[in-house]
Amino acid sequence: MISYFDNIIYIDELDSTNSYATNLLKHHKPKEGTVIITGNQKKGRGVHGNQWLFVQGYSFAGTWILYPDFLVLEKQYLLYVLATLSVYDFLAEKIDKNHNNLYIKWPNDIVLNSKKISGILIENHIKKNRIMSSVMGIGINMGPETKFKNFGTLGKEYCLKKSDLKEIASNISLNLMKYYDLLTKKKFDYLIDIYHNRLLNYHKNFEYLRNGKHQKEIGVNLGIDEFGRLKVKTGNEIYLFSDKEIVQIV
Amino acid sequence: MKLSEIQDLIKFVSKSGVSEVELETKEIKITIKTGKSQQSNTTPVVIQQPTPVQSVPVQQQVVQAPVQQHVPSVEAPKTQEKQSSGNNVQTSAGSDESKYVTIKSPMIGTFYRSPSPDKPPFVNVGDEIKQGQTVCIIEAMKLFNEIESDVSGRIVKVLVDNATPVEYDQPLFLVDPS
Repeated sequence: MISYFDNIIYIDELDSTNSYATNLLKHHKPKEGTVIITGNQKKGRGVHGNQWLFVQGYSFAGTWILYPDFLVLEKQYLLYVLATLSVYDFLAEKIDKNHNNLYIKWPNDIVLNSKKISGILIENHIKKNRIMSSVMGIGINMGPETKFKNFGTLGKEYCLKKSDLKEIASNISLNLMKYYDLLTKKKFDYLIDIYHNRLLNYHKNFEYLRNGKHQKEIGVNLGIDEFGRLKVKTGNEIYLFSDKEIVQIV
Repeated sequence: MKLSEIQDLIKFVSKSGVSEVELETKEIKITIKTGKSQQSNTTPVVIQQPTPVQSVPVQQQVVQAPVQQHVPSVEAPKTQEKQSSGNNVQTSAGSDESKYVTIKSPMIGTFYRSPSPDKPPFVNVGDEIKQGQTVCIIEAMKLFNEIESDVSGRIVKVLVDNATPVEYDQPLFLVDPS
């Protein structure tokens, strides 16, 4: 069991925890599992230059630093698997112990009552086909209600102080430690089984759009394949989608 | 003028990018033509993409993932030796493509030249890069992979358009390591 997920760096205010971690890595090699959290993230980043909303007192933003150089590149999707599981387990314990309303939406979002409450941005540094470092940003919106469509929150009762943010980071770290340990032991199938158990619409019908198409299709979500792609059975055929090739309608 | 000085001059002119230089002293007159403006003398050099190693498994039925094949053929003018007038001085000017190396994609994904749409590219043609410098991002399954260059040198050509799919082992950049 890895026991080095104990370094929490708290910064009152910064642009982005991922950017901070990336800059840190340019000159230092922080202990594996180091996490940067903040009381105010001013320019949270999502994918493709999108902004990640941060509401001071109601949002959590944390970035973990890992060195998964043992993982072959074609298995790197397991990083989103373990990051998503780590956040999911924390949220489930906090708000949905029966797992009735909380799901992982492939590949790495977490939805509560069909609304996204957590997003993950993973940035790796590749050298000679090895993952030298992984910067794993996790954002959670805990309230209040936002103006953004499909963006959920955990409700107004959460008002996060510095101690709360540290506690969240610590809890997610414990989960991450557990799943990262499975990853180092190459228990890939086990990790994927757990992921499937929490996956939205797993073995159920769902509606989706193919990339560039406007006509909705219905298929059965068969989970992920050995490259992290989504398997969908439509009619008698099984299709494999990478994240850019499908829009799931939630 | 010593022979070694003439040789140095030729080297200097060939690297300078100009097409012709005349030098006249009391004892000698030299004209050096690099042939860079002589398109008729260019020899296209095609750099073939190695066969991509497909890491996508053949699944039981229909595989959706549209695999976009890029076979970049790079044509770089190869300057020919041109005979100069007067003193029969020859120069081998310009580039020798066999010395170029490629930076290849380590994975299937989407190629991005800049860290985000509002940021400038990591590298441009003509930039000197160092080993270990980040040259692009390959995104796969929402994982953003900064790719480090294994070589130092000058970027000669960017072989892939921004935000387009790339295959495993597909050449991304042509680099002059000299």
